[in-house]
Amino acid sequence: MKHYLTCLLLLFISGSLLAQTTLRGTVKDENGVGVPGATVKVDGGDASTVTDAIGNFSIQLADGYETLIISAEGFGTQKVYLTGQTSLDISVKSFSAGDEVNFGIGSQSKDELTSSVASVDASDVSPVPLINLEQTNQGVAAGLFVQNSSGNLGQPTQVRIRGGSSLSASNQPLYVVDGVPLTSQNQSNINPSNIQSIEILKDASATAIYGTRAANGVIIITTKDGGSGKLQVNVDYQYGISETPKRLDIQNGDENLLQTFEFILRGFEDLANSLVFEPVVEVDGVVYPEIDRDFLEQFYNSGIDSVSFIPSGGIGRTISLNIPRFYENLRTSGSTDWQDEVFRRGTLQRANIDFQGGSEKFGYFASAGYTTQEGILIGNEFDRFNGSVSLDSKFSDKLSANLNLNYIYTKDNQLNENQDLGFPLQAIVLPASDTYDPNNDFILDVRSLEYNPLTEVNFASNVVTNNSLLGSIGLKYEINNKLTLDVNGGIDLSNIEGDWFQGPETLAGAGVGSGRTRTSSEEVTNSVFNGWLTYNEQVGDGNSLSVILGTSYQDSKSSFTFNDSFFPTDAPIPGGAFAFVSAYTRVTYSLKDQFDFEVSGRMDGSSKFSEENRYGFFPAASAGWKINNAPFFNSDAFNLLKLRTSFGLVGNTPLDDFLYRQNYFRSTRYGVNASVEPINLANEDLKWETTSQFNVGVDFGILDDRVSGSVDYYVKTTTDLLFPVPVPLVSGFSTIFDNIGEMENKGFEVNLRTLNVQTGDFSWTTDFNIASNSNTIVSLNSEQAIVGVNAFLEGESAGVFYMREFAGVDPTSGDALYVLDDEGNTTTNWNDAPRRVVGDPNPELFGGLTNAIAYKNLEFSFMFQFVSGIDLYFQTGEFLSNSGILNLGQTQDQVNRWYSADDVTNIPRLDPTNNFPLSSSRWLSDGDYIRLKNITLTYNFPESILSSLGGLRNLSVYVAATNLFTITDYIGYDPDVSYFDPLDGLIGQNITRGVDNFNTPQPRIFMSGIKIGL
Amino acid sequence: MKRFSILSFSMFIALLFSGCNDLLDIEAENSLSGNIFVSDQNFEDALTGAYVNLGGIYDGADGGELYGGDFQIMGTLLARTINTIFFWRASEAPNYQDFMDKDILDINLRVEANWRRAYETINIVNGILANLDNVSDAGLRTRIEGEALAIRGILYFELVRFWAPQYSASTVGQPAIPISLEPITDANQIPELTRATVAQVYTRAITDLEQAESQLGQNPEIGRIDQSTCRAFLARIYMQQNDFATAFTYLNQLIPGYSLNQNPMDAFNNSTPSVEDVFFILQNDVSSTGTIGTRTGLVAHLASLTGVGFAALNINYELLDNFSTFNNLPAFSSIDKRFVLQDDLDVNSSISSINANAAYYNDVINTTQVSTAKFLRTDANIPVIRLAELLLSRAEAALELGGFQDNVSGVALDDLNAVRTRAGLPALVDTLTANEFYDSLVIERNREFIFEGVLFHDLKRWEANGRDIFYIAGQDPLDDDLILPIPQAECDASPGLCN
Repeated sequence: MKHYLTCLLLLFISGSLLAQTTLRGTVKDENGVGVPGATVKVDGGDASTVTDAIGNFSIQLADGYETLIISAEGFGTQKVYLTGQTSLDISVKSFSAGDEVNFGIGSQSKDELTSSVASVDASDVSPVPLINLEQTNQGVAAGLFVQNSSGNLGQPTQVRIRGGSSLSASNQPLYVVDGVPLTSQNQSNINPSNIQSIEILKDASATAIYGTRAANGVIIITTKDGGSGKLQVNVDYQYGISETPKRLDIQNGDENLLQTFEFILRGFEDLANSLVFEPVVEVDGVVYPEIDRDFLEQFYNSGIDSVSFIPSGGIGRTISLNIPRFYENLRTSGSTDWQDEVFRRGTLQRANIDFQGGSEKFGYFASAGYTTQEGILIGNEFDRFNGSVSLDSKFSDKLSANLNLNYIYTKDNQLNENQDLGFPLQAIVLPASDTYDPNNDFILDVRSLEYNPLTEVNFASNVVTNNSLLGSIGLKYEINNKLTLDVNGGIDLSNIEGDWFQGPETLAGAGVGSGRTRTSSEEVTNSVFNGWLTYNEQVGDGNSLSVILGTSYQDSKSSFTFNDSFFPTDAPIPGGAFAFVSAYTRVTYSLKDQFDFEVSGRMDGSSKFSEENRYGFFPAASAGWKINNAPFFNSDAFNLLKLRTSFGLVGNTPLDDFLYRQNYFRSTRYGVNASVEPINLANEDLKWETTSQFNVGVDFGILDDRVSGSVDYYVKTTTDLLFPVPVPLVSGFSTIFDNIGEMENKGFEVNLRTLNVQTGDFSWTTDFNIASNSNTIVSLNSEQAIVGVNAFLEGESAGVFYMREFAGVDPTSGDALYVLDDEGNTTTNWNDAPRRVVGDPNPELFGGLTNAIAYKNLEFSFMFQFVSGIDLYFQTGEFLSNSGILNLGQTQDQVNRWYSADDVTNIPRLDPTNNFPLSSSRWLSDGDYIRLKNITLTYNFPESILSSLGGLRNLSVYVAATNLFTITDYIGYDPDVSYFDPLDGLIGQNITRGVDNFNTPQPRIFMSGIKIGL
Repeated sequence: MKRFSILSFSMFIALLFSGCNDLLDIEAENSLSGNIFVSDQNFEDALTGAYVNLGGIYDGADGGELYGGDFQIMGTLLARTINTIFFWRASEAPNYQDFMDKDILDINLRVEANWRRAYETINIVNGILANLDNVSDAGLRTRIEGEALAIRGILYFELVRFWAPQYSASTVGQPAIPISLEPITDANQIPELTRATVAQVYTRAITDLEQAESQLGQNPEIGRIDQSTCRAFLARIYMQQNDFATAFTYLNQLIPGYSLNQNPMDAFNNSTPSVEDVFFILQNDVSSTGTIGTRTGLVAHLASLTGVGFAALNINYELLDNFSTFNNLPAFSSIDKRFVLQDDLDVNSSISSINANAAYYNDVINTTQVSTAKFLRTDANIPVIRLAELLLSRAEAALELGGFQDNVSGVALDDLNAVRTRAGLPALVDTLTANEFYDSLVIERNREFIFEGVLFHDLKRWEANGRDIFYIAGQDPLDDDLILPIPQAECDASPGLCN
């Protein structure tokens, strides 16, 4: 054997002597910085070299068509297929994002992974020009559905991993930042530049170690830590402008005036009808038998402002109507495009500096970042400062420690709630035929009773500031070469203060000379302790065992204050408090580099339940089989073919604390006396929601990972759903939380990565992901919940659209028709029509496609994101596209409404007496879209220029655009939308899906930036 | 290795769960839990909680129940005719429109909110009553028990007269509403509900109030129930039952303790008790039934001043002086102090612009209408029973008991005249027949308590007493349509209750 190897070696040496060429090149990291100490090796050969201090290398090759393997500590291994060139710049990717999966508690090589985990590369997080980390993940990982609630800055984003698992408890994944499970909502505010990696744990096997709160998946965010070389400084700066991606086609001043005329005349027509007048109208000597479109246009164009209603048969008094009686100056007031008044071009600036360095024993990282952004609606501004410090120290061979601190400060000039008349976008329903006077509190010239949001923008403010600190400290002690102890402590502190003011000129502040103020604060103190032992053992020949055993404790408290100058109260608001104690274990066993097994379990105790139901056990098991390593497998095409499957349980707790017992709050005073009142009925039987999940998947790599990817199928079943069940009102309460019902999510996920071209100067990779999810409420004990147009109904997807089904227009009367039954009968009576399931706001398919192309010093990438099989409800249309029944500003299409008998149209008549917009599927719209989410062009300055600039490590400039275009049939501004009313509470927010109620669209952003490495 | 892991795991578990129950026993700021009836102060605080509920509390759309506004608004709208003189703007407060329409759905949110709030309050006092043994101070125990019983009695009376047929010989056996006397703190304690009869509920209300009356003294803290409050409610109950003799006895005990304000409008918008207040709901700037900001309570619904109310009720002033048996209008005369209109207000006017003697002011939102000046200040107490009611009730009881044919005189005449002359009307003379006197008495109640929700119940008891039927929008006051339905949510949660 030894002899054979020696022979082989000799053979190679002699071969390489025959035709040698020299290849020179540089190994760089993803920021274009040279990587020192990287190993460059010929695949299958013995030629090998190490890069110098700035990443340069030279290597002897046989013919220049070999395959190079480049590896470096802290980076992934990369293969390069040479094509005869003599120089090569190759970039390598950070190690932790690519090859090692961080579970928050322990990590695992991706190779041995048996569960479903998606990783988002650090380089994918930046320089994407988004402020919100959650938005960055949109379209990036299969099965992760990200939906924006609004284009307003500082607004929450809905994130669903494999569909929502709960009806009344949270559906947001658990965020763990540097080992600290967040209670605050600060995941959105972490500096994107600081993020080292994001792991998205999807199946039960991956999440089980997070136990009770992992039902919706876990997102693990790891921030950057200290380096090990000399000080490196990175500076980057971005400047961008944002604008609305779309404008709706809204009627102009003339069309709006015509509508106003019709509004007045129809109102009078109805009155004339009720007085047994035949609606025969006369204008300018011409008699019209009815008010039809022709008449309206004649009348409007005539310039005459007076019309007569003639009694039928000429008996009785003619009634004449003088328009100026209703509105003076109607014709002369002018014209306003209200979208111009409220949309603006906002600017965005982001600056960041970080320092990284250290020695073998000590590493440090520090950064400071500042972001300031203007919303695309006037009055909306967001500023954020991030500061972070990370230290790690190796005290001895056995003991090391690390510290991470992230400080967050944000200041958000928020807008009012969407449905508030002072919300800027409400201006789009103001009459286009009107103008306003800025010197007269922005009151409209003609329709002075309509409320102009500009009044609010100018005389009100709502500033929300957030001061938060996320920190963790960890100690790692290697007891011996097999056993390691980790101890971790973390804090998540946040203090949010709101300062709201409405001047006396505004609706809410009217009546009091000094206006109205409201102050509020919310303080969250969340601390966590976590300790675990890791045991690694090689068992026999090529088998390995790893055992993790740990315990954790989390304690979270929140307190609130609120004060309103209109109804002062001195009653303290009850705070929140919860604690978890947990023990967990995970055992992994690798058999002959072919089979991987894992069993994990977590025991959780929660303060949210009674002593009888306090503890829950959440086990999971998974297995993987690397078929490509099986003896019988001899396909050269597959370098990886792995089958894995998992099953496990995870839990979810109710949002509210202490529901198992009766709680009282200190209510308002009665006179001078303090009072207490019960908040809830106790339910001692309350327990966890349990979600079981089965997952089966295949990972594959073909032709040395030229094509790689994974396919997963999952079935996720939530039982013991927490749901507010009605109780007799005689108890003083209407509902009690109880565990009823069952919900299922199942779907496919596909990830595909192809290395289309990889030559010396040119590389092109494509990442594609697509996921399907189908959600069904299997049972709900015959209960249902309906909020607005959404509902939880047995046998349907959670949150389906449940409303009257619009069936067009009755050509005779012009009234809207609604479906009455399945036999095709319709009615014009909205009340008589039953509510029906008319659409589903949950997507059937969603995903993304990213292409990254690099040529010499240029990098170009673009990402498409798509959502399909989704319905949206354009609730704005109840006001903006309602045939003008409230005489508000209308979309252009409403001009084609029904005017007179036999008009064939889908838009009902203008009926001023029926002036309460009734929700129906008239405003339901297809919400599918494909969006060019990001496009980025980067130029990395070559070494020659860098050295002439005084030895910069790297310098790159880029231009980028976000939301450049969207292909959709959606009728509103933006199909990436999900409005919910914060007053609806969690269950209302869970039900309300896919509703667009004056939502601000996601902005289109153009930006440019520079990154400098010193 | 396996042994090691099992051993360590067991150790961890043992370590963890021995001490961790303590770790899980945490409390949130500003909250109380479990059985709170362990200290005298907690009894006081819980009882105060019942008073807060009695005045309706603002929690979103469910604010202003019971005496915080709904008993007055529902009573007012139910007794009035649609759309002519009184117009409810459904766009401002759609849930009340049913009362105006006399088409009250069992899913009506106000019906449900008041039903639930009443039982919630009853449940609070039931909790107090069930734990009285834990009150250490004997004197305190007697008072707390008295007030708790009184609140329960008052609410059962209001529930039965809104949600059940008018008390009469023919209805006493009919099913009314459930009676709950035991506290419910846990979902498992909710008993199977059945409806007690009309008579049983009245008996319950009377029993509670009589016991309270015997236990409570006079002059307690301001705004709390005392012996007089109990007597006044007992008088109301007996009047509602047309038991004039018993009512007369209580009224005689009560009336000497009070005197009428000089001007009828002096009885309103007071932050300290007025001389004619018998029972009222305490309000102040930190504790009220709501403002225009919360859109709850009497003031927000009835006032039209900028920043004060949204004027859901529009009143046509010109027609208020009409009267016919079909529309039950108050037929105000122009000299009536309760008909004084101030019409110089506009959107910039504030509460202080309203004259002390104004009974109405021009509605600054719906400029052709007027608003009542009875409820202007959210920090002013809400009158529930005033001396004027005791006087007019005693006048009526005296009339019914006196066997007059004509020449009505004595207490009946004196009491009616006390209210009339205070309003600036000429005193009636003792030459009226019993029927003429009765007509005068009826219209006086209509005028005096307009917007206070009294007339609706009067119309029912008058008809049950065999007097003239005053139709409401063409409807017989004793029609089932004018009985509030048990909320659908209650029927759904307790199958069988509503059959």
